[in-house]
Amino acid sequence: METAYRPVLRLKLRTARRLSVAVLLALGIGYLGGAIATDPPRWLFVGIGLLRIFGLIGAVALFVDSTGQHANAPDRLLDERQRHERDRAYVLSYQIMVISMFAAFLYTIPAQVLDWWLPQIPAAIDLLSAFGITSLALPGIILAWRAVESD
Amino acid sequence: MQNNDSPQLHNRLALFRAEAGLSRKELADRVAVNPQTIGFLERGSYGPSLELGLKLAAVFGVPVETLFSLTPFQSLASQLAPSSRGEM
Repeated sequence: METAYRPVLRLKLRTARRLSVAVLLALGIGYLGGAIATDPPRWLFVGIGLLRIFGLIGAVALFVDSTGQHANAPDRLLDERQRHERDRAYVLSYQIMVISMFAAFLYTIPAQVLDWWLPQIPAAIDLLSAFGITSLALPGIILAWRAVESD
Repeated sequence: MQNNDSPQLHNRLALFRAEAGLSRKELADRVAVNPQTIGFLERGSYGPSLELGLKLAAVFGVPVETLFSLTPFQSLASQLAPSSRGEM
């Protein structure tokens, strides 16, 4: 182990966990809600916009926080247990993202036949943005929930 | 040695560390790991690699099987009790 990594932000574990829940909710409601609501009233439009901004800033905060930096630290800065945890977080993130994407693809099959809701191009871009932002923060979120308080 | 979540590996790391008068940080520095990792090892929450197991054993100057075992170690009290009774 060369040196410890130095995160830009050091949130308390409890804060990081609370923020992660808030970010996932904000991204889910902000982007999915925005994609479904095609012509929202002004107050809802503003609310969705604020949720998206909060979700984006929160995801970046989680990314630069110590758990997010743990997720992205090179091998030489981590010991074998930390590498093991990081790798497990990435495997779980990959599984969650692949299952989510596959579920979305599966939905499109009956949706075309049964005339269910399908996103237009702007809404599809919104959903892809939410997907990308979530995948950015997910390994750090998983590490935050799996971490234990310092001894 | 398991490197996963199965709690199969037993160890006497806390005992040896206390006897050597080392803090978790000092021991961690000697084997080049994070001090939290020593806590994980002592609680049995993490099974070390063969390399780390050997490094830890080398710090205390004992064979690795003295420090780690697949079967539970006999408690110190039960080990000392028969001999102390015999001494009386």
